[in-house]
Amino acid sequence: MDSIAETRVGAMLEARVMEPLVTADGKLMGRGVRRAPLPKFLLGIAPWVVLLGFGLYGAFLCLYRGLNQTNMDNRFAFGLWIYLDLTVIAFGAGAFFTGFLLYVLKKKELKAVINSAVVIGFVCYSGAVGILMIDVGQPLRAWFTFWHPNVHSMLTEVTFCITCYLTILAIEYVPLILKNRQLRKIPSLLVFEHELHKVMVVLAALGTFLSFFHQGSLGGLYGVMSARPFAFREAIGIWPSTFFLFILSAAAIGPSFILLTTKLAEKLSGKKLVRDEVPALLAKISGNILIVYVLAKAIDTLYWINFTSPGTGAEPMSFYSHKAFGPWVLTAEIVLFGLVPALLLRDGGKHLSLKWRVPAALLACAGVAVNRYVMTIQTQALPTLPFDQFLSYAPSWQETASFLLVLAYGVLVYALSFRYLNIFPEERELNS
Amino acid sequence: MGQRFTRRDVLFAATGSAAGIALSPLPWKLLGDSAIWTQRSRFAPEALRGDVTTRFSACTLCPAGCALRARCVGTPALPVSMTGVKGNPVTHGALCPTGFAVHHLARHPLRLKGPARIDLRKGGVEAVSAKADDVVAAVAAAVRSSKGAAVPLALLDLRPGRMASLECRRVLAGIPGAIQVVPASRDASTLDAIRAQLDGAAAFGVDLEKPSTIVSFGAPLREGWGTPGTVPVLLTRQNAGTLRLVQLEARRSPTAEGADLWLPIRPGTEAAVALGLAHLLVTEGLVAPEVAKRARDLDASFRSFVAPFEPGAVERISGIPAATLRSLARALANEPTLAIGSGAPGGEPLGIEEERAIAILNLLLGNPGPRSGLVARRELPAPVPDGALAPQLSLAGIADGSVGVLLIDGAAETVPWALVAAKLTPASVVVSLSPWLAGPALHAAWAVPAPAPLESLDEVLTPAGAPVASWALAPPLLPVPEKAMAPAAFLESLAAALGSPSAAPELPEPLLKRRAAAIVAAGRGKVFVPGSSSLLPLADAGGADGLYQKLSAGGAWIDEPVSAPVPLPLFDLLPPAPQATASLASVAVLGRPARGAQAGPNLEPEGYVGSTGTAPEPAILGKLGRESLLRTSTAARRSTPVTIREA
Amino acid sequence: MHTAKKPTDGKNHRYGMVIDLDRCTGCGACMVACAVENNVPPGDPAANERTGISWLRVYRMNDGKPLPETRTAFVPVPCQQCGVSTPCLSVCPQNAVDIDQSSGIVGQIPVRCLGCRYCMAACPYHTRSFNWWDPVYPAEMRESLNPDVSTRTRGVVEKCNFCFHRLQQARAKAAAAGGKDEAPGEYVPACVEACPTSAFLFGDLDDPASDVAKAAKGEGTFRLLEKLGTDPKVIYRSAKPWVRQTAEGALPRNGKEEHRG
Repeated sequence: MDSIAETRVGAMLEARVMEPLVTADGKLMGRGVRRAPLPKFLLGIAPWVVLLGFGLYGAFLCLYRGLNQTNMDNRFAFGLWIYLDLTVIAFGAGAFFTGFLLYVLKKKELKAVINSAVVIGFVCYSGAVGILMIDVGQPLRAWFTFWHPNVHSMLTEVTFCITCYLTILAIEYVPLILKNRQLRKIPSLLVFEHELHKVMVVLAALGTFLSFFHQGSLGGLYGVMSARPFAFREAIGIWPSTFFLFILSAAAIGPSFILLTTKLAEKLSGKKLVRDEVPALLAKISGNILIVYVLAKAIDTLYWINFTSPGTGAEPMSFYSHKAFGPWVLTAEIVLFGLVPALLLRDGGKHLSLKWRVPAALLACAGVAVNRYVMTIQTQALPTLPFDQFLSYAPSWQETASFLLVLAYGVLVYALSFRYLNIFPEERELNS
Repeated sequence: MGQRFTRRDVLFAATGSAAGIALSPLPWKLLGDSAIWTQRSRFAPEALRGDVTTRFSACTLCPAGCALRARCVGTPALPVSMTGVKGNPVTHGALCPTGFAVHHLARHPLRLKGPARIDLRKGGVEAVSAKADDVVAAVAAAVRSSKGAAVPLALLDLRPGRMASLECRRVLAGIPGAIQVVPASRDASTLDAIRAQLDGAAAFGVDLEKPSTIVSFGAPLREGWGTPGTVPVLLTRQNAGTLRLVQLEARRSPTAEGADLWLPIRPGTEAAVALGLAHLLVTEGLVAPEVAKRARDLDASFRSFVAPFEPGAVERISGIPAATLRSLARALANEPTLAIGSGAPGGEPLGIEEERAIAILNLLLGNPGPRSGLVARRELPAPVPDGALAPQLSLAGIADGSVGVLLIDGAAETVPWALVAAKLTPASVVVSLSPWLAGPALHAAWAVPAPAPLESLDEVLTPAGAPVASWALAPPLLPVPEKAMAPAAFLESLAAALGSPSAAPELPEPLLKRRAAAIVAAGRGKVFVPGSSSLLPLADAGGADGLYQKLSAGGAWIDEPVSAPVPLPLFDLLPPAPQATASLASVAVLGRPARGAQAGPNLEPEGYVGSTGTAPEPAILGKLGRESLLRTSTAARRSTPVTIREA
Repeated sequence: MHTAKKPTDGKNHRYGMVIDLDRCTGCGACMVACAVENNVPPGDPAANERTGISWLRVYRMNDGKPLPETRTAFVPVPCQQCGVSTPCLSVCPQNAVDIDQSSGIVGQIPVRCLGCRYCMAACPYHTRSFNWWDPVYPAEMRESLNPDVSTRTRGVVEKCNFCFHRLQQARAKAAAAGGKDEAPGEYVPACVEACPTSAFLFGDLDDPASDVAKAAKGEGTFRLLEKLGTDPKVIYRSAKPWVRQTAEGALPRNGKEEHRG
């Protein structure tokens, strides 16, 4: 009796709920592409939705009860969030750099990944802005920076760039949405989308500039701290060397990250999404810039060890005398996570490096993550006052949850975009 | 030409205005202001407004009685901050950290606003407010039912010697069998022991400008011994290299940290170390001839008494290496040295035996004498009391298990509870007269809160160990709660309830004016006037009324030092009673188990030792412990190299 | 907050202090007096030495010798009022940090602060505190707040400003008396006034006649992290070489520092 009733309910649910959903789902997908059946897709994103909910709860606690919910403190004023902001924004650099290569340097092959890059850029930047709003103590005063900006502050640069560039990314993201099969049916939107396309080159160029600048400002954030000898770097022009190193490193791993996400999308969807030469080109570009970065970073480090740091009265090796941050950190960052992936990525055509392309891209991305970690966490953990102590910090669950919120948000936006928007233009052709 | 507004125009205008307004600061400013407003109203109280005035008083939380200059706001003027009084020759403008927030204490959450029954509940103590008459009746009944006890009613006075104390004794005199009990002064107990050795020849104080070396047996010299005002004097001399501080203390106290030499002894072995030093002085011929002449028992009995305390034995008892002890003894004999004892590691005063051992050491070192700064001082003049007074006994002087009803007058529990509890009968009733549900109140059945410090006119007596007598007034700065009851007033109601009505206690002002008159009559000393920081001769103070006025305005009376040397009697080093000698030997050999350990963490001395005891702590003081690393952890306070090795 | 009008023609000062470490016993009176003066609420019950608000913190340092020979010294660290390339000043994105030119005092404007904490990361002396909690004043403090200092809200940074409101009062007093400038000694921060051992000397470092200017040039003086070039206006003094060397960082770290976290 029960089982019959259950079956009936099940059948009714299927008829009343699932069927229209499946129909609508199908109608929203791009023409000529195949996507996983709706239940499988829903099952796939379910954990991320749960994570999103958990993250929202953590973020709510931080906003409602205040930042005492985090494990940051007066010494560790920046924690997990700022570290991840920096890292995520470096990963998002793929968006601006691919745009730059495609629209400015006319690398036509990259048209295959530009949409994906825009989605990633949008996810990374909007996620970063979101978490910054939780991170500041008075989010409602965020507009103060625009109202009475301090032009000498790197954070002012960061704020202006991040908001402007997020706006540009949103404008770049809009046409992708408007190209959806259903939305295209509305004529005025189609016209709007067409108009947007005309300004896209200008936006890409402007976005490139802003994003370059923004990456640099994030680097400058630490480099200008003249009183924190571990972070301080001398200025080249008006910016500290970290300004340029951050730009270089972000540009270097941006293509790597696009490569990784594309490979991941291919793996998850079981389809070929881009032509073989695209990853090869991405890897090569990434490798080449990485080489330059590693060289610059090495020179910068040597200069810092021999001149900058002694100038502030600090013995450079004393920064590496604390257990968690031995000299190996520096070596690993430059060699294992820098030089090694650079060499592997550079020779894009060779058989050996083809196989190592993905691990190398992973290493390269990890290298930037390590760099941002060192700049954020090690800088604050190290004591400056001679009678002060080395401090450690571990994020609270609320902090971690808020970070997971951004991760889940990113995965969901990318998954939905992949399912309903045409983010790999070559997909239909390659899979027909 | 007809202009027609289309729907599109309206939409455009609306969108444009919305965007325009959004880009203007208006909505954002409103947003920010409302954010500030919502947070303000909830958490930030309004500060007082009005004229800012300066008033003077003194902190009567502990016997140190530091002079206060209060910044007051509004009408009636209420204090918002406290500072010391610069130039004050007694307190040297110093205040302990608690002193800066003493005005918070009157409104402390633990403050009792009226008589209460104290309930011991699971997980804490609760005060249930009660009618004053009911409390008086209940206490009277308890006094009646303890008729069989040796002491049916005792008043423990934690700040003895005040005119109010005298008044309490006068009221108590009407109640048969009632006595007043005074605890030993923590900081002055060595001086009292020396006085006892010399048959009470004179009262002594310490002139910290004199000694070249101070051997301190746990005295909190760098934390405020007697009064925080002694710290700057000591520091100046220590920094100048004219004073060497040797701290013999089990815990790593702030004084131990700041001492020139810290000798971490095993807890409870002060007597052994003092007698070990005495042994070395005697056996190595380091005792000055004039001392040897006056000490009657030096050659015979004393030598044999200290014979067991040879350096090797003392090393085994106390953990101080024999070589260190030897070199210390030689150094002490060569320069004007004073030995001061105060406070065992648990926070309680040193025992009688330890103080006697330290007194012996002092006598052998030639103290009292002009060079080491142990000076005779005159008593603070007091009016001759009219009428009978209840007897006054020292806490140590009353038998264990003898007190039926104990009233405790005072907020700072400067005596460990274990010492007080031993004196009580099994069916005893304790009544706390402390303004707070803290310290003594935690052991009481009833609380009859007295006005808190700064709430009533009070007086400040000579601080422990001071080289000259001094006196000051503490005028009230805060309104007193309606139901707070001065101890004498409570005693009067109690006497009435017991059927032996006494004369109504005198008000503080006429009482204190009588002391002023007594001082003027004595005709000695000077009057400190704040502001000009000058010292007036007493003759220019304008008589008793003038003196009273000057002291009400933040002044202080300071006695003149005793100029002529006090003739000293011949003395015995060892106590006359054989039992006392035996117990001295036994304490010295066996050490004394730490009583403070059972008394609980509240007695952990921290900050200014002995000055605040267990009166409640103002919340703002949390900065020192919790919000900084200034106070060492409890574990660190308990541990020393010796105890660590033993653990 | 930091726009006190100078009495006309008053000259600019450079207020600073000299702290004699040999006279500091680490009692903490300065910290309590500072908190009472500046309406700093007691920390939340969960606050610790890294999350509480202290405008002035007394550090404890030792010479690293084994007990019982260990020698201890205390270092009171208020805002060092850096005069050159003030680290917190340039990093604030919205000008919530400013320098009062007439006194050289670095001020913090909490009502303009966004709470990004960049200034805290930039300050090598760790003298800035963030309001991690809503400030809650216990009953005992509610009726005794200092009317001259406004309270702050959650989520903003605050720090020592040498009791700037006292300077404003001194100037108001001078102006009311028809004078042009605050009288020397008329303006003293709460911690300086509070110190029971007079370890602090305060005054105009540019006034060669002042005690503080003389003491600043005296023997055994040094400044914290002097090589950073921030020109702090808080000067320390000790006659003990180990204190100077440890506080200046001239001695190598013994590497045995307690690892806290």
